[in-house]
Amino acid sequence: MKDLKKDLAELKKLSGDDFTRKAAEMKETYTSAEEVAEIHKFIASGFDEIESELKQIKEEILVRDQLAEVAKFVNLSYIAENYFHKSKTWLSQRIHGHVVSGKPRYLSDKDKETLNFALKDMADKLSSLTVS
Amino acid sequence: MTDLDQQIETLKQKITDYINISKMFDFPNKERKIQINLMLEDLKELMEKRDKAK
Repeated sequence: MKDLKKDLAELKKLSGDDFTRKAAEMKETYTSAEEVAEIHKFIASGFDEIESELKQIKEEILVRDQLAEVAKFVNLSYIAENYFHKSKTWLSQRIHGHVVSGKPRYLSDKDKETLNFALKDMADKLSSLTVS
Repeated sequence: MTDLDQQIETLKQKITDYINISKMFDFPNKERKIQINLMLEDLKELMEKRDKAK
């Protein structure tokens, strides 16, 4: 018995040849205007998803590039431990978008706020320091 | 392969898959053409950045 929702959910999990094969099978099965309209919605949402994933990666690369310069003279372990209360590995994974448990991990908006606070706080401390 | 490489390859494949299925189901690409072109440009930019970093 055909079930479009179930087939679309399965299709979403596939990629490459498996994706194309499943889509071709579905083309034979789902031919009514309503069904094709539903598949068009699926395709549109797929493109939107890709767009948002690309945007996220671009943003993360920007953050990483911005931090690359600072990381030469700022101790990331110190920031991780004192502002995030996490390990340097945790922070590094998020800065570099490392895949952890099958998913790339990024800094959340809240993490970015914390990081910006940390950088500003450290800058304030440095700028108020005068050696006599 | 780095995580960034993996993510770029996954996205490349995903774009290919959705372009293929669009053709298969006569998805009105005209409306999406700008979005797809921008995505391809973004992807090209990411790949250039990746290659530069190597």
